[in-house]
Amino acid sequence: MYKMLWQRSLVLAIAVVWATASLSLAQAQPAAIDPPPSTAADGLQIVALAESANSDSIIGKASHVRLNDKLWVVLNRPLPDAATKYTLFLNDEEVGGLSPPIATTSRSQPALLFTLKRTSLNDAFWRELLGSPVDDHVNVVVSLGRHAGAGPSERIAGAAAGANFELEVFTGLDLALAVGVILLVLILVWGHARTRTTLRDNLLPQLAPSRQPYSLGRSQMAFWFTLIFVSFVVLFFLLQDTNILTSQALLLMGISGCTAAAAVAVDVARTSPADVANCALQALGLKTYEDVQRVQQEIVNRATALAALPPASPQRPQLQIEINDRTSILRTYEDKVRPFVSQGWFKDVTTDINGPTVHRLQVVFWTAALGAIFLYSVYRNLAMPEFNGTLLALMGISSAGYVGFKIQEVNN
Amino acid sequence: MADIQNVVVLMLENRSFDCMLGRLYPGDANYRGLTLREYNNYNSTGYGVWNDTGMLPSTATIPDPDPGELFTDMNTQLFGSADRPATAADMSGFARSYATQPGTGIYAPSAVMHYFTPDQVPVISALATTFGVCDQWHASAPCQTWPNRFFAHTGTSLGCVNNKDFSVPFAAPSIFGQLQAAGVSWRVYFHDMPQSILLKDVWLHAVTHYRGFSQFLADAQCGNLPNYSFIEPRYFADLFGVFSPNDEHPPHNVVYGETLIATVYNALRSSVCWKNTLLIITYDEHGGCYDHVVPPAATPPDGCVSQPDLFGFDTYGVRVPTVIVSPWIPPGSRIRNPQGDDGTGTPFDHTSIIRTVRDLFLGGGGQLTARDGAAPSLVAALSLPDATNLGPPSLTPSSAQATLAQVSTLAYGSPNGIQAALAAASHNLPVNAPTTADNLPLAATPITPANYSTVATAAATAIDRVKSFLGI
Repeated sequence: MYKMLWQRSLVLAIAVVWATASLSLAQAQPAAIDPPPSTAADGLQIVALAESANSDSIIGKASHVRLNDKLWVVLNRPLPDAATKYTLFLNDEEVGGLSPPIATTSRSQPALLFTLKRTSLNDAFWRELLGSPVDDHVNVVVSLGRHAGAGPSERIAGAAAGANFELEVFTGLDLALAVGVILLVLILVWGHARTRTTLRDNLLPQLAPSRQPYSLGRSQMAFWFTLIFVSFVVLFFLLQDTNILTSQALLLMGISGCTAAAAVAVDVARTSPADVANCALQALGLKTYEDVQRVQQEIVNRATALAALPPASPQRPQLQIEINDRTSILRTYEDKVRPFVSQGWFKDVTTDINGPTVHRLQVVFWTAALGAIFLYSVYRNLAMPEFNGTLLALMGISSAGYVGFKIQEVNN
Repeated sequence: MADIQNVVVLMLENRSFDCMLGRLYPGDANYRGLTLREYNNYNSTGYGVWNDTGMLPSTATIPDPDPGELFTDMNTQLFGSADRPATAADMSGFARSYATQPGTGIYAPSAVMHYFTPDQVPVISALATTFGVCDQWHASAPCQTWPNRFFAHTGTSLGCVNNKDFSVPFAAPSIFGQLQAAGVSWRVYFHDMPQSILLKDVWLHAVTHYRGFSQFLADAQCGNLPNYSFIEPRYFADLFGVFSPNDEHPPHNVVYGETLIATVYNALRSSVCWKNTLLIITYDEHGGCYDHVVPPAATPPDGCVSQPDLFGFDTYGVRVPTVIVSPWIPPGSRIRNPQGDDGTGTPFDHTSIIRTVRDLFLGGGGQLTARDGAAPSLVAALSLPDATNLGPPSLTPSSAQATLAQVSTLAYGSPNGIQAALAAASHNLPVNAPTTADNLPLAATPITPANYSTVATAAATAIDRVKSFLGI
């Protein structure tokens, strides 16, 4: 029954992710650009591309150029027009929204200097060019557009070898740093969760941290924190830009934070089954996990003492009773904490003391669905997604429903 | 003769007849209840019987703290002196016994003189008036819980007067053993630790014959009750389940005992077994609560004499409330020994349970001791020609439920006599119940007193060892 329920939910979630991702992709596709015209009539040509210049000449290959860097487009002769008439085309698409180029006619090689800045006007272009990276460089064909009057712009291209360069998407160092930071976060948040209470409820202090059940609220909060932080790190290294957090990302963190806080508030405000068990265990002298370990040690100590006594020793019955009493307390402890011991992350977050619950499954699968969309969007668009209000409302309603039902499960 | 196929006994704890049912029929000369002129003197002050109106927990737990119930306490209560003088008992020392308890609580002498009115204990009162009440049922001996409970099962306490005096397993043959030998079905239904599991006679059959109380409800619903059922209440506060004890042992709230009685009655009343059922609701002993009837002489069961008190078990204990429920009993019955209806005949005591079961299922045979041999049977009280007194379809007990704070208070308290003794005796239970006679111990072992600081720790030991013994 339980298996069937979660299998159905998984299928539903996959369908939702697919549908929503498709919708998101459809909205994100850049508009198609018309193919460029041929070489300029006055013979102006691109002869080289470079990443820097000294006082006399343009130097360096363009293979280290990346977003936010400068690109020198070296021409075969001085510009006949003002530099502001020229625009940059990469892969036959005009890169709008760039600052006007600067002409460098004073050097021995005439050139136009472009700064490859990502702005809201060219965001779709860069997304298309750099999104879904599979390699550290992407091949780019450079051409120029020259505006002359109100007609269509004239295109200035170059020899294939001179007008091509490998735009750097990320460096090996970037990759190493990003992976390092991501691993660090994953270990701190999720790796330690196996043995510590980072993601676990601490409703029964008598349980060892590794046996505490995982908390849905904390897991959700950690999920969004991890996802957003990892995305931030990746995007920072790719785009060299810190202004990449969206209000939706913050809202998601807010929803998950509020959910976790409300869940804790519910646990604190009401007498839950765990509170009753806690109270009962305290009456047995077990206030913390250290007390459990103390009783275990007392049994060992007495068993050792008993083994050392001669069979007829009058102390034996009393020692045996003390061992029995402590053993009974520990067996009672084990029996009564069983409903609160972790059964594994998925089962913990989707069940309460009475078994699987729809309100928990709902939160898990909607969180997973939005998380998948979020990750895909970061990879595809190199930007944190802009969820629409409906999806965020859905997440909020789902979380609110969880908190509401949690009040009831606590009462049970 | 009534067609009784199921006898069910519910034995609660430590309340006297006058405490629970003394005012059931006020002013009725044919009922040995309270006249409200009864009193005890202590320190030149008279303490009359009294009632605290309402039924708040502070009333339902009177007397609080627990009165003394050792043999010497009972001597004081009956004779005014701890050493059991040769003079006749006059029931004059309840207030004195209570006021001189060594505990640290406030032992106000009047507490043990308190009685409940029928509207305060409506369940047992309704059953008593609808069916029958025994105003001549005494505890089997002026002793603590265990001697009296063993009397109910075996007809003797083998000379023991206090819980702590016993060795386990208790070796006397029991009614359970007699029924087992005769192929008559029986079962014990319990809540936490059944005291009767200390009987050697049941050890070989315990695994198959001891069941939780919920099984009683299921068996009643399915018409699957055994011929003889014995129900043991919850003796310990259960903090894990937030259950208060329902044994009515002072100072436990009598409301929860009332709920248990109603639950048992309702289960039987709705069962297909109902028209063939006899339910006996009784209490093991008076527990220090006042009763005005002097216990008469009794037949010594087996010649055993207590040490060092030299009590020969030749008198009964104080009267305890006993209500007989069956569709074969005329409404409003006052049930006494027909051979001495004026009070001169042998009264009922717990061995009347044995006698009745023997009469119904063993053809009168299977006598255990001289005491149950002399005990009057309840069969004569089942006098209707047919099972026509069906009683109310159900009884509605109080809806009060124990709070976590109330149960915590009980669980953190010191164990009472039976709780401490049960926990100590649980150490004498083997880890697993014996399966063959060869595995039975040759001799009983005296229970070793253990020092349990709280009810909770005593309960943990007692319940855990019983679960291990029964393999549950």
